[in-house]
Amino acid sequence: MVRQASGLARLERPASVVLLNLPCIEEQQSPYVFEGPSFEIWTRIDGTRTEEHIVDELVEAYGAPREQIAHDVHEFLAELLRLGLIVDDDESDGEGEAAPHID
Amino acid sequence: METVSPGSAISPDDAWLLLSAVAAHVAETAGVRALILKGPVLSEFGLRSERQSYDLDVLVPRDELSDFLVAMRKAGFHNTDSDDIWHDLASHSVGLASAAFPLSVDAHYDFPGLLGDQAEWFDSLWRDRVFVEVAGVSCSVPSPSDSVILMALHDLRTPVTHRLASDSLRDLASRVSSGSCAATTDEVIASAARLRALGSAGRFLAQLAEGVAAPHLEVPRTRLFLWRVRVALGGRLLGVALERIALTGPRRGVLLLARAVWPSADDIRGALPPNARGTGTLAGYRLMRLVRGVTTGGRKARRQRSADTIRARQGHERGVLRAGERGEAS
Repeated sequence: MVRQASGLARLERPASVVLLNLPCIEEQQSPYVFEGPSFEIWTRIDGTRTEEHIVDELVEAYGAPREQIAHDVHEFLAELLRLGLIVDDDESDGEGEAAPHID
Repeated sequence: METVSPGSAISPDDAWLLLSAVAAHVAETAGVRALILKGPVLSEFGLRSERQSYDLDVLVPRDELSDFLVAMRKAGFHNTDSDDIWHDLASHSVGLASAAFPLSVDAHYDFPGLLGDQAEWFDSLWRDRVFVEVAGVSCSVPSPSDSVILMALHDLRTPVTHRLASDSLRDLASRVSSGSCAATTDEVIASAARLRALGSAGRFLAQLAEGVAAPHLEVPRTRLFLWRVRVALGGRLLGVALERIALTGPRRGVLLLARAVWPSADDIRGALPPNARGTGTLAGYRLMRLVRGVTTGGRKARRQRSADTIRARQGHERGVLRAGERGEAS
């Protein structure tokens, strides 16, 4: 189960979100802007959905090939984990520890 | 599918909100008491209509400024270079900019018009502060009534936009006296007394109620006199600098002057972007300050802010462009 990391500065808009990783501000000094597909994935990272659930919802919403969406979602989540923007409760021992891989 | 990468341009309004969150987070982590001033918070208090902010103003105690600046530099900010000697002497804040944001941060360590001991009035502001959530982060801001006094003093000391400042003062007084904002007249007067601003904010307070201004209650009178000289000189750098030197005291005043005339290499390095800190640059920078210092004493202090903002915006645009050139912009 993945969830958004705590301590982020965030500006949520109807179709986009702007994030700043405050706990890592010394290494990540610029804001991230998620729009389009990245926004669709980000909004579904709520601590209740698994990666598979997120893929299912996007396949249903957009009708794109499942393999393609599954690949994109996995890559995106892995990058978010690496940056510490999300936390994988199944793989992380504690808050803020980013796991290198998610299932 | 786009990758996760920074570099997208953000609007000045969003930048203000994020910068507030950055300043609050950095200050808290560094153990610094920082108050976010002005900006959209004032609209929430009903103290003014919504308008764009051109920089983020943060107020910190003078003896915590150094820690705050160090922490902000670690977060990617560098000092905006001051133009010359007079600007340094007249300044009551340190400008900070980052290529990641189109706005600069002004870290204030003094607030002209608050005539009492700095530590005392900051403690008062801090004690009465309220918390406002900005970009998901809890930020400390002065209470509505304290904010009214700070707004009034800001307008009263900026004669470069005299008509606008007068209109702004009138509007503020109208909002308070009509009860359409989060501060009542009694609260504002009490704030002025606590912050030792009855005399300096007298022209504003007189619009709220008769017989409020009582400068004789405030000590020392020298400060009120210097404030009036400063306002009478139209906010010119020379007058503001003289006020600051006089308030600093003879020994520290001389040190202040010496440092402004001949800043240390560390001071200059802190004012320059990392890629422009060579020995030749330091010498050229000192010379430029001396030359400019001869001519700018008669100019008005307000112009420095717009120059800083322009520089910060240019830096931001360059930063975005560089990210785009590397194919990193999302």
